[in-house]
Amino acid sequence: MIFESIKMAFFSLKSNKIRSILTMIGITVGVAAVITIVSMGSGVQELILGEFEQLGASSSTISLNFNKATDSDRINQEDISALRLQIQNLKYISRPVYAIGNYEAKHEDHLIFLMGVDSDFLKMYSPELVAGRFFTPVEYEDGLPSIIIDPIVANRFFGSAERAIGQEVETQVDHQILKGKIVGVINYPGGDLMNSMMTSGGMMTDEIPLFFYTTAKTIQHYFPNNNSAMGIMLMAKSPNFIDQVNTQAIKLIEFRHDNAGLGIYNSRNMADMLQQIEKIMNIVTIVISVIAAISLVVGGIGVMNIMLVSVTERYREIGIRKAIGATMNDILIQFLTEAIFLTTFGGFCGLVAGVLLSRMVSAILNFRVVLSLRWIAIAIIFSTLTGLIFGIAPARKAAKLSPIDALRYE
Amino acid sequence: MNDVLIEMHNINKTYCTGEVEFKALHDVDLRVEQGEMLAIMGPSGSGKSTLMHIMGLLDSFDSGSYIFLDQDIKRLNSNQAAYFRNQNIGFVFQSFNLLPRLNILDNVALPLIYAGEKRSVRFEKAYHVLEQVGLADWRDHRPSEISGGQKQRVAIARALVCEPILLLADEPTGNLDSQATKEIMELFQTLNQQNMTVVIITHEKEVAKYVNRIIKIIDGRVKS
Ligand SMILES: Nc1ncnc2c1ncn2[C@@H]1O[C@H](COP(=O)(O)OP(=O)(O)OP(=O)(O)O)[C@@H](O)[C@H]1O
Ligand SMILES: [Mg+2]
Repeated sequence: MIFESIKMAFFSLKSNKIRSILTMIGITVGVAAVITIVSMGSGVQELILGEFEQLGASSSTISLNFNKATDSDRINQEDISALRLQIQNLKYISRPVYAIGNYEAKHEDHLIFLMGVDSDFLKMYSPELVAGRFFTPVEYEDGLPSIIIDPIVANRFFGSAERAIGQEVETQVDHQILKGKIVGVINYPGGDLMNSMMTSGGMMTDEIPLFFYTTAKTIQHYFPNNNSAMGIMLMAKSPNFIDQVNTQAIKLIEFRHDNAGLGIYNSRNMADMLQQIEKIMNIVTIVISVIAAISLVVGGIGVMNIMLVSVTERYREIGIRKAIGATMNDILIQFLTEAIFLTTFGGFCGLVAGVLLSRMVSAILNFRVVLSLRWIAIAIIFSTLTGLIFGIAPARKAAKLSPIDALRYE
Repeated sequence: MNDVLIEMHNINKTYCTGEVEFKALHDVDLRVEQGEMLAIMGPSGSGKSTLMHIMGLLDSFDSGSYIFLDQDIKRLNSNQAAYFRNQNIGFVFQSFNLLPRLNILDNVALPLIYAGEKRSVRFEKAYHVLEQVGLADWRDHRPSEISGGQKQRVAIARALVCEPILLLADEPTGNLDSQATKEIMELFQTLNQQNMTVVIITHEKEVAKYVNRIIKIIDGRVKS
């Protein structure tokens, strides 16, 4: 009987194609929009969470509050040595520096972002080595002009990571030249996050820079005027110690710069940030759910309207069916099935459209979208429920008709 | 041999439309025997269709008793009545009442859905009754593609498909010319000879020639 009603519903909707499609569109558009937003949102969430996981729950950053800080407040290399000696449970501490410059290749100037890292930096983030090697202790100590690049740069200028190794590159920062040799290619997944930290640190560029890595000492050595330390990164021996490490570190730095209580240093703990991001994502989810609910209600009212019209149009059919033996339930199920078919099929089309749309967005913006099975299930279940809720009144109206009233109806 | 099929006693029916009450049937007594072919005649508005609707369990009555094959009809609820109609009574209407979107075969097979029959059985039985009324070749056509006489034969096939005991026809030839009327009435006669009980409502003298018995109704009262 159920299979029979589905076939009957399909048949009757098919014979009123345009009207059925127009009714469906309400649901389809709503579901498509929600699926697109949700899968993009989850994509962003996964991206961010992935990078934070990379950093780990036991790390934190201390950066300057640029509105208040003066040059004397900057955290210097001596601070780092002091922290390393005096803070308990500190595992790694890093003070990366950077320089913005040019790299000329194939007769074109390219904007580069030259990061000066120390040994702890790479230990903290443990990037994947694609070719060559990391910096050696000697290179860190003596500031030798060795350079590490990422696979994007390697592929673009040298064809492959392997071929990039050993190549000479010449970079320019403020008319000063650094001639270096590529020693390694690393896949550094935190790159995007670093990038956003740079921009939030006051550095804005239109062009997306190429990432080059060298040692902090090298930058100091070749570009002595560079004064770009943006902050420090700490990693405690375990997540339990990070708060303690953080507070002690700030205290010590403030003591050394004699600026306690001025709020010069901002600290961010990865666990806190994670929590904050989750909070934002929860709000986003709630907003999406509200949008979805509204669109389903609007679509559902459309379905109800059409079903009421359809019942009135088909008084005679209802009368005939009842005369030849249809019970109230048979008629109820028939009309309910039509409504549910409309919304479920509409929701399914919306799902497909949403998946295609988010794939397109993902291809254009070049980031991965994530569509969980949970949202697919939610989309289908709620569109079905919409049909049930908004289809019940028209279906009951049809079922309750007395056969003779329906037959006599002109 | 002639068992009683329908026994109606003192049936009353009043329609209420807002303030106005209209008494359509007055103390109607009616007895139909199995295998009978009966015509109910009377002027327009006399209550013929009302009586047929009550006989066919399509409508309720205010008072009186109605026994159909030992079954007290008053005791059936609406679901039971629906199943009872489906199994025991076939309807034929003046305006054919075929579903325009279904083809002939689907129209004829429709009552079998509500009888809970399997698809293959439905089409087999529907095909069989369509053959009986001589329209098997038309099974894939829509009702709009066939003549009035053919439509009425399809409607009769539909009425027969659940193998009912009683055929109720409300002015079945009202929309047909004399040739088609003759064909339809001969079909009813053939069915009656195969022991089907047939009750036909009509006001055509022509039609009355084909039946064994005539009941006259005037102003909601039976005049025999
Ligand atoms: N649903 C209704 N509400 C109110 N009055 C009704 C209703 N149905 C029928 N009537 C009245 O009951 C009376 C009998 O109607 P019925 O349809 O039984 O007549 P009939 O004998 O079949 O007439 P006809 O030959 O024109 O079909 C009519 O006067 C009609 O106005
Ligand atoms: Mg009538």
